[in-house]
Amino acid sequence: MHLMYFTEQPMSAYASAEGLKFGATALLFSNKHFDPAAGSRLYNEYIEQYVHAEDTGFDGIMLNEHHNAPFCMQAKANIFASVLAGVTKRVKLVMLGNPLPLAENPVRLAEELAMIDMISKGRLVSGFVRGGGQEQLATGVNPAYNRERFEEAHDLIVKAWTQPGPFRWEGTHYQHRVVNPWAVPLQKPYPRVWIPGVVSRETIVWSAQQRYPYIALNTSIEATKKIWETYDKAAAEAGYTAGPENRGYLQRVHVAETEEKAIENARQFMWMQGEFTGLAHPVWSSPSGYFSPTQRRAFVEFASGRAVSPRGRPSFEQQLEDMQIIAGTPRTVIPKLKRILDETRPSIMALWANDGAVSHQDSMTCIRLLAQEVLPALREHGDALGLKSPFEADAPVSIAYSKDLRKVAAE
Amino acid sequence: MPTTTPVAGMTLDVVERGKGQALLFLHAGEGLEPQKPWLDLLAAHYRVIAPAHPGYGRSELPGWMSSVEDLAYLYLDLAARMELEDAILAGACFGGWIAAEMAVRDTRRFSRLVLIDPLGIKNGGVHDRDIADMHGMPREAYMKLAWADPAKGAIDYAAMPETEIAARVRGRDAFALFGWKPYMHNPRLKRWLHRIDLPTLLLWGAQDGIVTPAYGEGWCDAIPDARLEIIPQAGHFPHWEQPEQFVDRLAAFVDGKVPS
Repeated sequence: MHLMYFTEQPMSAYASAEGLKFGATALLFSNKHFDPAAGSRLYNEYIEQYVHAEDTGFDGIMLNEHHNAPFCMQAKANIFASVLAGVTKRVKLVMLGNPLPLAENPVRLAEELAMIDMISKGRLVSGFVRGGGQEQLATGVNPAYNRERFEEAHDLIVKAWTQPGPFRWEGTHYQHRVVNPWAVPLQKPYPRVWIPGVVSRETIVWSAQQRYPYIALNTSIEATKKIWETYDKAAAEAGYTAGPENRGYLQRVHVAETEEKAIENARQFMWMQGEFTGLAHPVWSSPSGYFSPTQRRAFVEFASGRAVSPRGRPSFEQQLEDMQIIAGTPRTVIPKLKRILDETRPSIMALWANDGAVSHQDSMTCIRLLAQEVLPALREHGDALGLKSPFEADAPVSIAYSKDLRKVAAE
Repeated sequence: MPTTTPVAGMTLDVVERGKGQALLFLHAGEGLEPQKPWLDLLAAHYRVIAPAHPGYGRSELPGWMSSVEDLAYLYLDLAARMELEDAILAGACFGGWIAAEMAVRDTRRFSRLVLIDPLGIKNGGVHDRDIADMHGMPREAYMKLAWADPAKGAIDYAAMPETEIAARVRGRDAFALFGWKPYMHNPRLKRWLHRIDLPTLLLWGAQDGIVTPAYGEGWCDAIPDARLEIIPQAGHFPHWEQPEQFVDRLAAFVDGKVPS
């Protein structure tokens, strides 16, 4: 198994009453409420926590980015990846990921990632995302081109990583006279690409077609099984059999020395879900043009009162009950996490451990307890289930570099 | 029933009603709404030709098509294909923007231009918001800005067939595709409005909060032979909110009558 530590890097140090008064804490919630002194402290605490995660035994650190929102302080994941490339020695730097459609210059992104790969001595996992609906508003990128830009930027980056330059790129969304970045990645053929997601069927199918592992972001057990069905079918159509090495899962889990403390801190997961301050207007997460036909249908059904919201949030107690959130001492969380492994069979697992206003000290304790007491049990259980990570399985980086493909009958 | 009309290598859904002088009606960002009264009221005077924009209704949206410039050439092609002469070119909201982009290019098939609360130009400075961010606000806030009486524009989605809902959402996606950036305008269009050599009527809803009557004055100043008329008790869609007044004013303008 590949076991990673994750936090959204919350910027909880602002007057929450202001968020409640405004009714949302994203996009149009004024950045006058941002306190750079607290920001500076928090950024440095997060670095300390990541280093602690490496020191105590995690295999990887998962990074992401969001814009104009206190729930995530990372506006550019490449910056944290760069810092960690220098200050850590062993952990994989798993970026889940760079939002490709927001990039105006994917070649620049290819260069930055190549630098991170070299500085980290080949520890980069370069995930890519489409970016949430709100990111399209925050950065002014047309959501109707989201998927087109994602795929074109991906193709350009992979080409820049794998084909000697100079070459020309005159695409629909990106035009480059010369693609010839001096820096190229250390890992060959190129750094592993993992694709995280929540609901979008098109992204699942695309990931399977590329043979990129898909990381299900805290989806319910039932939804996760459906994701694998979709993935496995697309994989079979592409000529290979998908296995645990193609599957990742993100789980919210907080551990502490006592059950009471763990539950109290785990309640902070609701902070990000907007219980304490409000989060965003639904229209910001689903601007016109952003969704695929199947998804926009689901939203329309919700809008017309025919269905529950596809992004609906159950209560904290319900989420504990459904194991969407797991909290407790190592002794009580281990059986629950094992059950998640039994049910969803991922070889890549990210533990989303600290959120909201959980203190630095409690975050450090949580990381230590997870690494020292929970991870060994998960590794043992993962081994028994045969959950080999892409590294352990030496899985091909992508479909283009696969040597085991079956011939697929032309349709 | 709309007919499917081939033009410029694609097919368009086109509603045709009435007889007489041709009137090409380009619909608003919200959609064609062919069952609403204004097309029939117009058809009492004119031969109304009302296409559903690419991506709306059953009109195709080819992958290469992405700009209002494309739409302008598409409808100029449609006008040529239908051999329109002495026609009235009318457009509302997003359709008004398309009509203006057509008129700065080629007016030979048209004799009158009617723009109803059009989007499409930039009047103000870099910090001024000329056009409300329809895509960044909750629907309720949008309705308050777009309607003098939001109840008139309410849509009962629960009673609507699934196919109709899907078509509407597809239309909204197309609206975002064409107008996302720069937001619902062409920064250069105003510079070329002087080329419009047709008598032009600008009709504006008095309570339009999406693009205000003051924004309409910017249009009026830039088009050589234009006049601006304000329709009371109407917002961004005066043809929808006050259809009789809309048609009366349009017909008076076409007949060369100057309002008292």
